[in-house]
Amino acid sequence: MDESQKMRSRFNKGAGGLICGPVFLVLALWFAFGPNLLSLPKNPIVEIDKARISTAARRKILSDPPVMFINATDKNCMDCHQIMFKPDVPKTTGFLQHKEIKLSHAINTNCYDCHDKEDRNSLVKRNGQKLSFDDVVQLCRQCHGSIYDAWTYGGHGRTNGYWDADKGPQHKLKCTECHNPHSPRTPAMDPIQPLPGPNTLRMGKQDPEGHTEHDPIEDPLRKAMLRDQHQKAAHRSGMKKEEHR
Amino acid sequence: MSPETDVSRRSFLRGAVGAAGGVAAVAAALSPLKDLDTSQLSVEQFLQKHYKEMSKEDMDKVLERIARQVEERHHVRPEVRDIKPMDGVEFAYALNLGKCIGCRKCVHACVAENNQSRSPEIQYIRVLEMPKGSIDVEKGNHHYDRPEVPDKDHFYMPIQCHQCADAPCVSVCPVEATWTEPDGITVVDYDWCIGCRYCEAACPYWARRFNFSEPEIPDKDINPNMAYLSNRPRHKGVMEKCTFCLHRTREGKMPACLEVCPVGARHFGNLADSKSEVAQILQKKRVFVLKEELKTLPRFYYFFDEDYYDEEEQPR
Repeated sequence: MDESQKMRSRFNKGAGGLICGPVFLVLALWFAFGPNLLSLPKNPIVEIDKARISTAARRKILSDPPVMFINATDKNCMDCHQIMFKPDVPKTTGFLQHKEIKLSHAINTNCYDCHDKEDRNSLVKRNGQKLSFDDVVQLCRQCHGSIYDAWTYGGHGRTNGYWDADKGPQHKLKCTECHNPHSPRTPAMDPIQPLPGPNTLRMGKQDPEGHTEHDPIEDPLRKAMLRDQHQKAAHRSGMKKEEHR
Repeated sequence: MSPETDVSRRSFLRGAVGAAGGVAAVAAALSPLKDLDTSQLSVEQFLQKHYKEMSKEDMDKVLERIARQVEERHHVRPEVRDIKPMDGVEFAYALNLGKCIGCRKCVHACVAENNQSRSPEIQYIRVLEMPKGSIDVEKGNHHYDRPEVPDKDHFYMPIQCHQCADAPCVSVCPVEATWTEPDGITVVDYDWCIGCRYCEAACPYWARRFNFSEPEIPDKDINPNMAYLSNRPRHKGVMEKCTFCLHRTREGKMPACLEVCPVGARHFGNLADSKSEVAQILQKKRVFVLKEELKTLPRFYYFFDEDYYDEEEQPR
């Protein structure tokens, strides 16, 4: 028997059947009852805090005319200020009401710069023209002209609702829906707490200990690359030192 | 050549070991099939045509099937639609880096709107925290965790799909499962995608996401307003990406990420209309695009306010 005949004979003699039969049986059993070897570890479901992704404006503005809840009743400005004294001096806080108001608006330190002295339900422009509280933008633009320009074309502020005005209403946020008119600040708004960072498969996980300050790079590939670079740089600087010696 | 003599002990063992090894390899390779969710497979889905070849009737059937499957899976009856692009509209986005404070509200609003997987997490927008002074994305950090943002030494750069006019992700797709629509949005047909992840590798903005495992979304958090090409739930093994919320924007609404921005850093609109918000910003602000040298022609523009560098922390 020569070599090629031997080779053929191996497959002729039923050995294949002897081996394959049980093997496929095992495979079938494994598929039916065996463990899943390659299942990914499951992370807990990350729920989104609906309250923190609200589309509401940052500040709640008063109605027009403003209504305050004082002594268990809703009162507009003139309900009190009809009879209240009207001081000429610039004041920054009230005695009983408006105590939370702190007027620190650069050189704009007089209540009557913006509020009408006689009709407290109105605002007043520099030329004496009365404005309703809904038109507060027209008041602010007297000084903040360039920002008003940007706001009109959309470069400043936010428009909620529809980008296409033909399809539905647009709500262009007014100045006071984000900025506090009595004490605007620089930067213009209060810092806030950020929502949780990514825990995605591609971007890696957030350090559970919160050690991101010490090791801001979470991507294992980048970490390895940087380590490599550092090693090369250290090697190079070591060589330079030796040259100097 | 008698049949009894030729199988020696040695050749039998050799064959057995080889076969067992082969079986182990086959078993390992087929292992992912074990957790294939067959309840969501159907013949009609298998025989479904490409999105562009479907007639109105075909599409109605497909939408009905998707609605049925979503209902079976999440116990919520969705409204699935196939929304076509509007005439004379080309979408663009502009983002004011001088304003962004890195609060990540856009990231999470996007996930809630677009039915992304919550486990493992999939997010379309990533926010980079970078040291002030230069735009070096290599120094960017996704995982900043501060009690308050913004940090005064850093600025924040959100990156999402740039909806490129010459999109590398589209040209690498071997099965045309992704394409750029006439209004500029690059979309994915989740029923046509084979999950090869070429597009993910081709995207220079790292904007595409892959469903490595079956996405999990709590039933109560499903957004029932769905479109075929945007936020209908995906399955394991397909790519997904930001679609500028086309189920909203093609009806004239603003995208979800814009509406939650607490500082008004995000601007969206129709570039073809010269009076729109974005068109005006492109005319009046000094905008730039990320990785301009790649000539991908993004429809996502960044800009800084002119007064950005004058900004100084002042006591209240």
